[in-house]
Amino acid sequence: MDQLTAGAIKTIMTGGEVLNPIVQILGSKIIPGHGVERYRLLISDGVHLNSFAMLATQLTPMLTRGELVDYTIIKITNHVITVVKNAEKGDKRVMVVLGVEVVMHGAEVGQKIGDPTNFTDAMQNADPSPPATPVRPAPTSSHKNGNVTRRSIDNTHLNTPSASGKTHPIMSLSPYQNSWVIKARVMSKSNIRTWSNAKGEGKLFSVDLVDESGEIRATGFRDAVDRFYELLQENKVYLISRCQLKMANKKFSTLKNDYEMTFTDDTRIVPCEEDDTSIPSIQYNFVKLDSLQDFQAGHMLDFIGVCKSAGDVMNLTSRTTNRELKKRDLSIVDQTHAAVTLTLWGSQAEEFNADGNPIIAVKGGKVGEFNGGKSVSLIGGSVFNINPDIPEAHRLRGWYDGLSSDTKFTSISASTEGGSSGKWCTLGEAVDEKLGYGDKPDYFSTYINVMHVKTEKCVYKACPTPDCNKKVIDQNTGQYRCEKCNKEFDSYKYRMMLSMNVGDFSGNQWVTLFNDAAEEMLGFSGDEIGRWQENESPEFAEVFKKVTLRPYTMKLRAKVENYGDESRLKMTVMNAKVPDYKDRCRRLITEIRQMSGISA
Amino acid sequence: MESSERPLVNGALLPQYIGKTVTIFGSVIPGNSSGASFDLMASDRKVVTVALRTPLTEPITGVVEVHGIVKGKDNIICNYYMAVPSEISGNFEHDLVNDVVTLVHSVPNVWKATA
Repeated sequence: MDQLTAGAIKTIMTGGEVLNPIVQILGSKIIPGHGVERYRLLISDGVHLNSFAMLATQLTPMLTRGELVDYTIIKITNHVITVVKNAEKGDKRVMVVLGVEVVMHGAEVGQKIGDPTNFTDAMQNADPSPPATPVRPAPTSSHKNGNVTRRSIDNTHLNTPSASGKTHPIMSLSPYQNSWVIKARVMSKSNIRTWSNAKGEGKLFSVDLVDESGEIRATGFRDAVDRFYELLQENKVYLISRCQLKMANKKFSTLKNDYEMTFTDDTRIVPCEEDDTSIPSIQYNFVKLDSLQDFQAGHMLDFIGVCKSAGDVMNLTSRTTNRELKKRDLSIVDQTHAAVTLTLWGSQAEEFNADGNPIIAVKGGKVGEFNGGKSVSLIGGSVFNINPDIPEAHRLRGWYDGLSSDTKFTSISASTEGGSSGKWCTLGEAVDEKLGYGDKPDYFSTYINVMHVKTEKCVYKACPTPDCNKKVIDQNTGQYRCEKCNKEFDSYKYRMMLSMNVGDFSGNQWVTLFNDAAEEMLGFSGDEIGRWQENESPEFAEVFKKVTLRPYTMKLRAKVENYGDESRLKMTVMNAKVPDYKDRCRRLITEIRQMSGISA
Repeated sequence: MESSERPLVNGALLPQYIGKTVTIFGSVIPGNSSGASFDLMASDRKVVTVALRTPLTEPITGVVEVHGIVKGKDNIICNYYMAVPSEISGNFEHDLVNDVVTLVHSVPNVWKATA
């Protein structure tokens, strides 16, 4: 009983202040809504109960890990009181718990201490006089042993940001209160973006702010862009007040905060002259590049590496919005000898200078997947930092400068060479794994020899219209009709449709090559080959002899197709290439090592 | 005549094959101009002296494949050699060959006749 700070709840809930009160948890409840898990605690000081103790979201893991079970005795090291205005019932005070230490785990305590009664709102309003128990005067400095106890009551002097005034932790901000000042560092600042729609046009920018309690996004529209864009600089500390708070749109932000804020006409932002080191700078949670392979596409993560090379700025048109986009791919490496592609967009792509292999730190990059390779793309909320002054960056610099020039990196972004995707398997394995029998076609690469090419019907007469390629009907009048174009032509072009048998030690398979793949493999156009066949010239046989009984690496598409009642597995050659023997050799070595369990 | 078995080896494996016929890949180390032998840097970068039964009739450089009988830990009597033209051997990787050699000798030979 004497362990608890008796009377603390009454003191706190009536506007008084208790430093590091010790209370007992008698229950916890999840608060429904808004996606993010949030809990409220039922706490007791032995005299009173308070069921409006909100647990800050960053402490949720403590509860879910089972550290804050019922009967646990905790010390509240940091909290704020939020006053919720309620016209009918009077104001309600809600305690937000920002920091706790477990004094004794619930399993050891095992029982309720004392006989606490519920501390009601009525008591809260009826008894404004501060009680006598361990009340201490409000601390003049907001810093005590690194733990900050703060209150947010309506004090007019707080409305003006000033370096000396008391500030509020970001985690305590909510739409229910107006009078606050935060002291926060700008983690990142977006570019100015413009929009244009039916309602008009405008511009906006946003900054991600951080203090020791948490982080929040702030957005400025139109005039606010002119007023604050230049003022707010990355990595500087500001005192900010009078913004509008609203629910955060998690679609656009990955910050750990249920709310975000908007700069209004009343918003005041004052730069903080001395750099307050208690305000943390960007918190990174770097992952090693070789482990990036294990993340799902769409995952957000932080990483740091050396920019080994940068591609050119590329222009492309967005399929959905038809807007011109600029992008640029960088190759980033780290000590794990993995290389990953990082995609920059817009002005970042244009302005980036890869000279001298800068160190790149990324916070909140989005993992993408293409053909089995993983890459990272910067999105709206990502922080992109060049040569940051952090220990990891210096370690990387030292490591990179000490490398020999022929150091090899394993790319985890590139799809398997030659743009071919899918796994490698033999023809026998493809049959065993029933490739092509699923709903979607299966793609795989294989190393085969060409056994036989069917040459009789290898070309067909096609519509001469460039993008048509439909087979034409010979009218036997010197005219050729295309059903698709609904026109008759006096000419046609030959296109290939090649059927061949390919085999490896495990089996053989009939495959089909359409015009483009066949032209690439044979090295001649369908029209040339068609004309040779027409003229019975010797080149015709020669072309096919050149590829028969030769090895190729083929990328195949397997899909069962139904012809009436009959279903047949159809394999189409996406491309056929002369094998890269070294590549094949390495692949075989890897496979043998895996199968025999020999390490490199 | 060569024996029917002619395993692919590197410099380090030679001591295990003394008196036997082997195949070895390497790069000719320039400098030995006697014509009766040449020095080879094997795929594992060990230097092997290849003694010839008949003196060289042509200069040899670059990547060569040698078939011969192992005489000592760094000595082979050459039965046959083939110099790989530089157009083909331009991207030759000794490390890759060495990986293959080590691997071949560390897994059981599934095709070996049991008789």
